Amino acid sequence: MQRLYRKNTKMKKQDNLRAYMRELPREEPSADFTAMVMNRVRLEPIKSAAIYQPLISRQLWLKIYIGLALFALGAVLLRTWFPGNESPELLQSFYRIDFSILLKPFLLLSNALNKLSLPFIGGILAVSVLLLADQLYAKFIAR
Amino acid sequence: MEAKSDAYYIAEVVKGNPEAFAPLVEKYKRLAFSLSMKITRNREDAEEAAQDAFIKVYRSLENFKGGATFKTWLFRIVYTTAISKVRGKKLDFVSFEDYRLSESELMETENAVGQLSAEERSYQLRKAMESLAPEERAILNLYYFEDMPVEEIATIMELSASNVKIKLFRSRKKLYEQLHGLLKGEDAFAE
Repeated sequence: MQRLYRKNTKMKKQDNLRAYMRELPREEPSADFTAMVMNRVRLEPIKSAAIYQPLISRQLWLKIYIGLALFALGAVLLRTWFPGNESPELLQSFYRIDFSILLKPFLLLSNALNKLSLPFIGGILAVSVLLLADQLYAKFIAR
Repeated sequence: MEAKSDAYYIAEVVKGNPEAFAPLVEKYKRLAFSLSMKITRNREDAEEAAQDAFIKVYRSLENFKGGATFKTWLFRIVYTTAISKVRGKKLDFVSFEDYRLSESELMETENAVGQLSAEERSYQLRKAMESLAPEERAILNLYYFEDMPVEEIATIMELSASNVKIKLFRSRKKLYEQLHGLLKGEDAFAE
């Protein structure tokens, strides 16, 4: 009870002092303060930040993904609508293209990953998750 | 015209548009000057320190990563610039007397201060603040006048949060001790 009383008294003292301090007028700078600062700023060398642009912008990547998706969808639809020998000459030559070459990098990656041990992959994953969590914390919470 | 964020103006300045710094100066000049004035206690010095601080901020805008808010970063620079100015002038602050108050005397002083008119209270508070050290004035101003949280004050003054709390406690106590001296002196004079 006594602790609560002391805490409440302490809070009241803080509030009183805060109220007294707030009664003090805020000092105002001179009317030409901004102008004086800007006069000095204009004497400084002009900044020229190097703005780094990625080689392929996000928008371009999006267009590439949509393009590939449409291409794949188109190929599936064409196979469905014009299966086997009934399809026209142009589509026949299209069917002869070996698309497995596009899958080769993924197969190579998959083979390489299979050689790595599970704890090692788990460790990399854990570090990635921690780094991502840290970035999200810094961006959204610790402001 | 819709006010844009600090980040927008900072980006504009960094891109090479110095005029974009003006809205930032306009927005924070009162706060910067107020803190500077509390530390230096001299209008000319306060203006000079506040202006110097803005120039320092302008020069190092590329280094502002956004870890703290722009306001906190600016306050940090204003604080260090004003403190350097005061230390450079080697101004002495004079306590009216070296009082050590008991808990009951402290409460008495608080009550007495509360009984004064607002005008008289402001006058006595200003006088009492003048006798504190620049860092003590700054910390009381930031916490009670600018309503800043302890963590932000810690960033501005480059102290730990616990150190800020200790300094706040001591500064507050010293302020009341000075007020006690002032009010006691006035009572003695009245008698």
